[in-house]
Amino acid sequence: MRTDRTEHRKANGGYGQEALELADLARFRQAAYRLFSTMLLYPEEERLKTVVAVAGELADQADFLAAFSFFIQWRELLDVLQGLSGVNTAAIQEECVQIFMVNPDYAPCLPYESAYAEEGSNPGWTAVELEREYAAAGLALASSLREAPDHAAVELEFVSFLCKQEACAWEARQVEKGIDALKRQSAFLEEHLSRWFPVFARRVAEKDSGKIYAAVTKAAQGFITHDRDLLKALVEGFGPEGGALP
Amino acid sequence: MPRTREDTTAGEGLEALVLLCTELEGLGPGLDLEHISGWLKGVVPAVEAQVVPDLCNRPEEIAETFRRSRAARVVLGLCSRDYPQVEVQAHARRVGLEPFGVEVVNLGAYCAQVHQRSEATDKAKLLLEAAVAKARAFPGSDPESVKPVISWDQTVSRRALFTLPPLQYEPVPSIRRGDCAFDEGCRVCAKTCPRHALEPSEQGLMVLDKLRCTGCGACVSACPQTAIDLPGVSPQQINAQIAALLNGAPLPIHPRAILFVCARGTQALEGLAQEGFSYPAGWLPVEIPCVGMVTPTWLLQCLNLGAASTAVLPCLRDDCRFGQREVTEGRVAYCREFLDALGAPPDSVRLLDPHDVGELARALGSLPEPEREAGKDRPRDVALFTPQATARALLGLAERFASSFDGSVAHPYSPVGVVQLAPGCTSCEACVHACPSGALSMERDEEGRALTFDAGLCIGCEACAPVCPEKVVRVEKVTDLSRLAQGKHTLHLDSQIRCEACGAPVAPGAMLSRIAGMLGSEDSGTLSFITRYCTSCRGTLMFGGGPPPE
Repeated sequence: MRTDRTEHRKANGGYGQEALELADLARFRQAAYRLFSTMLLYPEEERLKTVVAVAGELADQADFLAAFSFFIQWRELLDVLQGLSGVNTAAIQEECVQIFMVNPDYAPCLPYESAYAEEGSNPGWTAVELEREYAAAGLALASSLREAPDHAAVELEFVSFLCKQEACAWEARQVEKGIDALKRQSAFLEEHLSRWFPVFARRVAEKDSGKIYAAVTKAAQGFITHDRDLLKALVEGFGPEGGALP
Repeated sequence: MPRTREDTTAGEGLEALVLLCTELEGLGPGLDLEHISGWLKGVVPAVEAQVVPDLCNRPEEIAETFRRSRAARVVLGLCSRDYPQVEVQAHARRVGLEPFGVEVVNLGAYCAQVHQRSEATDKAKLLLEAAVAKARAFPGSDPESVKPVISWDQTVSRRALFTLPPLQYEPVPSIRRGDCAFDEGCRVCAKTCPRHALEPSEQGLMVLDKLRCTGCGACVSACPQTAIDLPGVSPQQINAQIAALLNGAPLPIHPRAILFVCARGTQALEGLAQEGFSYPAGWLPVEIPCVGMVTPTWLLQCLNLGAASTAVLPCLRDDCRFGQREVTEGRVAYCREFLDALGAPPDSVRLLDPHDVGELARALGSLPEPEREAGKDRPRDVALFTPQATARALLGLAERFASSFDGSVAHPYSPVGVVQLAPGCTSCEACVHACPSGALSMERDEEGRALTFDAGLCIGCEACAPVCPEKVVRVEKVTDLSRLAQGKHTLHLDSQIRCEACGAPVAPGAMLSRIAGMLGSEDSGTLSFITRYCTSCRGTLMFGGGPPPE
């Protein structure tokens, strides 16, 4: 009944999963965060072209991506993005403005953490705290970037940067640095993105009749939640209790 | 645009796809797969059934069938539980199917290897029909109802250190915020969780620590609001499965009994099959993540719905997800004591031992004829999760066994309780606000107020007693049939004192008496003032030139 193939799959540490280097995983996550960051910035023509091109590449990798649970949310996004090449850029820009900036019918879904985290607390505190975090990582907001430090795109770009640091550490076989980078990402996701992004995504899903940004935020939320859980599991495994370290 | 599974409705393509492994045909006495396939297509609406060569070993075939089909739900009839689960889940995601919505039925161990061919074929039809019903009831999942589980290699190598260990996904409970009674003070799920994975957050929500959660599902069956879903065993799925097993299409499987099996304990049943044991085909397995989910309500409601017997088969492992085997033992002991009090056979509810295959075979060896045959004159409303379901099960069984017993069964695992009130209640309502199931309520009219109690809604959680400032509330873990039948009744009547100036409510009479008792006679002026006027008028009178306090 059970063939050698089954045994072979089991012996290889899990069904259907190729061994994945942590550095490769970090590079993939770096690219994913950057893609979501790009998609939440104003959709200039060049930016859109890049997104469509990346979506095509991701669709080619669907068999690999389907191994991860977030693919359920990504699948819909990939369908939407692949259909973007035939859509008028002006229409997408109008959708972006109506969802995130100005809308005569409802309050826009503000893509800023402070809009969700500061209800009843000190206004501006979130942005100050985030700028401190960026500075601690050796970063400062570029003057050309016309966005606040708590804009979703900026926070996602910051996690992308942390993923890059992690990838470099694994590639240089620096275990401690790699684990530190994992912990830093885990803490940032826990303290920031996973706290407010789900509420933001839910509001966008309710308001976005064009469906592009609903798909983007749904996929981003699925990825952030998955990443938060995966990083926690990795950190726990690498920790003193986990015993994965020699 | 590619199709979206969520849009698929009955009448637009196929709703459910059943795939059967050809190897089942020759496994033990085997199954008549063509007959099963034809029966499913003819009897169960909107079902496509296919027999697939060597399905258990060819996940790529599953993927191909997924791609060709427009089904929104899939049921796999396999030879054993040992199938490429991770791969199947990935193929499901690839085509837009929810992986935890894919139902797998172990037709090898449950049917083909342990029963005669015709009997096994009929049982397989019943199990597959129930699996389709369960799959259709799948409410969907979201990112919060899944957790990645990493299998760390015990032998650490330098290569392994830089490689992602094998990754699997397990379902975890998710709370539907709109239905959760956390705001009203309910903490039943947190109290039930054996791993303390559910805790109140700073934001005023009940939140799950996924790392701690083992997915045992105990919180799902404990929640009095049915506000917790666990993909694969959400309340509506379990209800649909039990309904189909006991009330589905007429098949010559009689009598029927429900066997709740821990998903990690299925090897005990596979052991029976491998060692050539047989048992009555009426034992219908319902796989759950852990027997910690199984409540007395589940066990007794199945009997009430016509099952001849119910049994619980735990796992073999010492690292049980629930980790509280004594709770399961206590629940089964309660059911037996209750049945005994009714004059019903206590053996109708059993806790099985998975460690000894021979003993297990003996325990499953016979099934009593039920008082009422499954499918005939049975209650139609299959519900296992609400407090009302508990009352219905207990009263229904009393009626079924025509029992003259109307006394009470005191037991620490009684699923219902009785609230008793000693003199001294001040109608403060602390107990009402603490009650998660609505068993305690305060009813008001112009003249007064009444604290009422409905035993049919009480889950015996004892949340009311500790919050009572007067310490007059007591909960007895008792199944009292006369109280259950009585419904809502008054525990305490009180007057409503009104403001002499404006007529607004001041406080319940008993509360003011209590305050008077505390203040004594030394400050009778203040006492008189606060008992005659409401807070608003007191301010006006004190600072606005009204009559001074006496």
